[in-house]
Amino acid sequence: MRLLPPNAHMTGGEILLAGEALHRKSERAMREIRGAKIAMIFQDPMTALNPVLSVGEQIAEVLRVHRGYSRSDAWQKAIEALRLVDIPDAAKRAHDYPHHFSGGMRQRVLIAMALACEPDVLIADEPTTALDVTIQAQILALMQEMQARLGMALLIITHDLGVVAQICDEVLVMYGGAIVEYGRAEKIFSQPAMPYTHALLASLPRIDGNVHELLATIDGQPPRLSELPSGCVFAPRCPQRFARCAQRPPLFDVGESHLSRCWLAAASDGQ
Amino acid sequence: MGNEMRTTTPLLELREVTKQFVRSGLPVRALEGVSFSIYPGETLGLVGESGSGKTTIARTILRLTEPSTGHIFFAGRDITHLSQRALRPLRREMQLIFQDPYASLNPRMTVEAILAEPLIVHGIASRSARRERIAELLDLVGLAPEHARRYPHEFSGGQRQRIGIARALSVHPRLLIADEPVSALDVSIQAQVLNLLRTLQEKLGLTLLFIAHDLAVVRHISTRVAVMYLGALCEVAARDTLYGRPLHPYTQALLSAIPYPDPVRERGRRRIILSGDIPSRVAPPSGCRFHTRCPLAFARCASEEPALRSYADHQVACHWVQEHDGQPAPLLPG
Ligand SMILES: Nc1ncnc2c1ncn2[C@@H]1O[C@H](COP(=O)(O)OP(=O)(O)O)[C@@H](O)[C@H]1O
Ligand code: SF4
Ligand SMILES: [Mg+2]
Repeated sequence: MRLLPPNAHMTGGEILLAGEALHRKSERAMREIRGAKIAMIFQDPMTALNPVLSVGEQIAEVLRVHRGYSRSDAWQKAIEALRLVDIPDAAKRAHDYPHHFSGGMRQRVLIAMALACEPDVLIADEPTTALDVTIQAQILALMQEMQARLGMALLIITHDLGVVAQICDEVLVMYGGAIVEYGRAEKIFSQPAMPYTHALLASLPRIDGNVHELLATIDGQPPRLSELPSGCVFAPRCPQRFARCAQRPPLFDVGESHLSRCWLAAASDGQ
Repeated sequence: MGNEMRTTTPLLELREVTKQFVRSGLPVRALEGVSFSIYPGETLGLVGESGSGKTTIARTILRLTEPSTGHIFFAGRDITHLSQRALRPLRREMQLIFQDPYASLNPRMTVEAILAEPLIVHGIASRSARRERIAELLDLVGLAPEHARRYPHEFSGGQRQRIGIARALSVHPRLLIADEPVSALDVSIQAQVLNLLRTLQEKLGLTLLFIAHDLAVVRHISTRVAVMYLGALCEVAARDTLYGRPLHPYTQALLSAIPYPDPVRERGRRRIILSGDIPSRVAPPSGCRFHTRCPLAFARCASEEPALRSYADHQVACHWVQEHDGQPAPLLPG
């Protein structure tokens, strides 16, 4: 999204959207892309909503800027967008301000705003973390429905492996600031290659797990980004670490485009 | 644990406890006729979504909040109206572990001083015995002796929670109340703390009230489970009964809402998705508080509040379940 704070900048790499390099775009071109092609929703919708504008006006504004709708068309479309995300009484509620909505309803408003321009990509950063589980179920179902309807790609960022299992086709696992595993969801959950993913899945209390045994645990603490180990970032906590882990492993291909940043995968790397 | 233990006196009993707060001049009904018991040596898990009144229950038991009506019994004795002074010795018997271990530890005190404080307040150990007790406590919660000299900020969240647990245990409480003790911790740390609590509970024969919003976490540690919605209990049953054959529509919806960390199982899953929002506490729904979202609601539900009734090994507050002689609500697929 190119929305890093001023004290942060990209130090390398490329970001491509449909083959176009976003990191080389001017700020002006980026403004076009944000909202129209890539939209984002957040854990706390309040950070993205303007507290002194009605939700209808905010959505209408996005539509005027990105789609060039007239004032009255934009307002009508905004109501439609609110209706699409199941806000009851949309025509009336469009006049309300963000603080008039509950947490779950606010997330719906944000989704309506994000989807108003039918983006190609929706980035959802912990979209249900602040919500209760029955409301989370509503919002996840809504996101799945919207994705099916609009055919957009969805990038969901979450710490909740249940949410991942429910809605993702592919998974990128991050640890200590790096991608440590990538693959199809079924593969990642059934045959995790990276010891971190493996240990994390094993440590989850499950609704149908064996309650007569203690949970598997991961020793130690997650690393601070300011003091990352020089070798494998997971090495200090890894039950399988060996001599080679003192060097940083690359991402190895363990087959079927399943990647693992672990020296154990070096042998099976098909590259 | 089934009914065999019911012959003993509960360690803790709440009888029809209600609590009403006033917020900007309006009454907030936080607890509505809450009754339950905790028997010696058991772990009662209390689950509910945020704002359902879990923390208010914990604070009311400890008399940090005064109940508006109802009674609280500890070891058979009515403690509802004891003076703060008469409560003093009881405070030692009931200890609390907080959600945010950082906010609850004084940043200017060393771990040693933090652990010594309750011993001094309750006049438990002499100066030399105190040292020994502190070393013992650190060992009990899996911390090293040299940690005694350090300050809370030098520890990670999981370690701080261990310190909080050590402090609670320092005075040999009979009842431990843990209010969302792992909710603020990194996923990779939660299992460590859950295992510790469970091991300590077994080792020390503690009675535990374990409060959380995560049903999988609660299942892992509890022998019996109580489910709350908007300040009232919906269902109470032994763990395997509650998870294996939930009767109340809300319990069923909650269980159905949890995503399994397993894409294969998730793929074909049919969920009960409740419509609507969690209602306001200022103007809670009439009758059954769940009726605005309950797929089974019928006329009686809007007018009459369902009482918590016993059906075999269950306690359930639902008109539908009552009119169907304790049958499970027919919401869960299969
Ligand atoms: N001191 C207080 N004053 C006013 N309202 C309160 C106070 N404490 C709690 N409440 C209200 O009581 C209800 C229950 O809160 P709480 O017990 O904290 O729920 P939970 O722990 O289940 O999230 C909420 O609506 C909350 O806003
Ligand atoms: S009493 Fe009525 S509204 Fe309440 S849970 Fe039972 S069926 Fe649903
Ligand atoms: Mg609470």
